[in-house]
Amino acid sequence: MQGLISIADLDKNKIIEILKLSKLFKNGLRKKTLDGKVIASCFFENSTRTRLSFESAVAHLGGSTIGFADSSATSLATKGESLADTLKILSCYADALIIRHPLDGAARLASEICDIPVINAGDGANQHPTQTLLDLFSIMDSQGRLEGIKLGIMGDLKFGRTVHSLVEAVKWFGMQLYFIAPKHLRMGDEALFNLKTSGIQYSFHNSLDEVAHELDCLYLTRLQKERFVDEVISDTYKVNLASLANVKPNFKILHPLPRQEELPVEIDNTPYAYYFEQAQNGLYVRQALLDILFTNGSVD
Amino acid sequence: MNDKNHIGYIENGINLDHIPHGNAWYVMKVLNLFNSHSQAGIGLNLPSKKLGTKDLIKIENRVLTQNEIDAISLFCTGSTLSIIKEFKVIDKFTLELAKVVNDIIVCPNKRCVSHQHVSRFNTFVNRKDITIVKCHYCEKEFNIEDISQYKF
Repeated sequence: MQGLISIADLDKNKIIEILKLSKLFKNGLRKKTLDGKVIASCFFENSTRTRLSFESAVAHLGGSTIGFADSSATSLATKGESLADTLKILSCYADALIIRHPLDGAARLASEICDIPVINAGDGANQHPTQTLLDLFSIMDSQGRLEGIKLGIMGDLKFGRTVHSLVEAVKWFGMQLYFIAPKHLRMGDEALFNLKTSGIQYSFHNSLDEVAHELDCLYLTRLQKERFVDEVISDTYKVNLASLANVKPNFKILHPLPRQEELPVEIDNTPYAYYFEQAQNGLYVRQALLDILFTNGSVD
Repeated sequence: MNDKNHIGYIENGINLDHIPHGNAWYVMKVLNLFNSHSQAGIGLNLPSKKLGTKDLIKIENRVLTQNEIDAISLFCTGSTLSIIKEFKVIDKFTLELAKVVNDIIVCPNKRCVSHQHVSRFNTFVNRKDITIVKCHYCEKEFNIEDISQYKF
């Protein structure tokens, strides 16, 4: 059985299938696909939203979870067991493995070592495919469509994992992208080349004010101050009430959370705040993914 | 190489000819010739009808594994590898860029899980005609010049 390691493992049809099923779960669909199944939820580093939404999804589908929220109490940490051995042992006790690990590529390695399906819940700075799926679902659910969406992406576009995966996935949906970032944190050349070859239109902007009135959605990323050369520049990449004065009625702000200064709490009470619902959508997307995995025998 | 006036005569070993000018250095690193007991002859900046200028490496008493051949193909695409036994060429072929290189390259990404397992890289030539290696695990792409460590 195949799990999900990278968003690149999914084609457009499979992504749409997952998003449509996510909508059914959001509308109240109840299934017991995981009845009698045990899912290993192994978080070698902590992640509140991802772990709890996965475990909630398993419970909603009638399954049960075993695992750990950080690796400090495992034999890996206390007895020097190799990662490969730890993964092999985990696969003996469960029907599927959900793994989060601080090392890049750990989920791919797990999928090769374990003979049960592996779902990547984030491997270092590499991939977090279910975050990308819930980001796409949030755009679709808040706008009623994916095709033709005008999507602003603001913040650290060079190093941000969620941004890279999202950009990789939007190539399927003909969106128009507005990159809002300082020059030294702009999207890399290869990613831009891939967008161009996929026929995706994009443009560069120095502030949200330049384009806010055109956007359907704004995807914000966490500001990591050490990557901004000075405070004046980092202030430019924060959302404030004034910058939302002329946005369209359907405009929504998305953020993978946790947030920092880039998304002040004063935005929470505006009709544009969608990020908490976005986090909730993670439950439905992960239910859909697990349901497809155990109904069809594979995700891809 | 029993003729000390030449680097050319190998009794048993390999002859890697038509290495693109400047790339012998990388091959020496991949094959760890600096810490090897095998006698080796290195020719740099040699005239070549085919390339203009080429490098050349001959190694006595050395058999290359498939993984090693795949790894040197990153730097020697189009080069000629001859296998020599008792002064005779018993096999000779042109190196093509391997699609996958296993277990030789150390991933330059310090956070890559391959440091705890075995490495695997997929290769391709990008639109600027530059050979790129992409780590199977961390999915990061590197120019071959960025690779500085190999597993011996």
